[in-house]
Amino acid sequence: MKNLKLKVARVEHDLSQAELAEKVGVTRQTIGLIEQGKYNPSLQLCLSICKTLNKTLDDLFWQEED
Amino acid sequence: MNLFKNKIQDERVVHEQNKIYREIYLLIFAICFVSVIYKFFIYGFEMEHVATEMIIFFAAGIYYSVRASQKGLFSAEVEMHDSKSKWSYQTKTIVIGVATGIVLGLFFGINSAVNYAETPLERIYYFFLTFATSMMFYIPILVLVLVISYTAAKHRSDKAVDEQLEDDES
Repeated sequence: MKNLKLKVARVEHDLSQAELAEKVGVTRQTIGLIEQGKYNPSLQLCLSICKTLNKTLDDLFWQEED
Repeated sequence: MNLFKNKIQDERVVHEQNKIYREIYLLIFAICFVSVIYKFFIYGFEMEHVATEMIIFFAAGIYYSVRASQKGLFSAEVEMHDSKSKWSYQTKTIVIGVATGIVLGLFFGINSAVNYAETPLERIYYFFLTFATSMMFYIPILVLVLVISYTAAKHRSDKAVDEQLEDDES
């Protein structure tokens, strides 16, 4: 499932995938795959992304049941 | 409820298992390396005695390169390296080619001077002759092979990344 919340938060901060990746210390590919829902990040990486985008884990990574 | 859909693996266990597999890989490399040194010491510098170890070294290296390129990991490695290092990955590849050529030249030069020359003057002459000839031969070949391999792997890897992220505009 795509992580649109992350993508929206990134765009709100006017960051490209590459810029967010650099701030967090990963590659652009990793951010792209997280947004596409093709890679499950570790809790540590989730926290790092949340801190960079001033969001909580719930804001970015909580998924409502269908 | 779909039982297969919610199959969750314990990622801590998987992670620890992968760490052990990595250690096994290093252990095999270490054993092969010791074996090569031992065989050189016992049988002399002959490749036929260490063919199996060489196949293990080269096959593992080639397999990793191919899989890393197919999965787009090579592009990620280059990106991470270039963001942290003063020298780009490509520059380092060329430098490694040149340095290996110089080391091989030194090795063959010393080997020639020690084993074939009789007088001190001959030793110096043989050393520089073999050293220069080896460098002229090995440096261009090594640099060419490494640069072509790098370019091909990067191209394949970039393509894999583009395919993975293709419906993602950014």
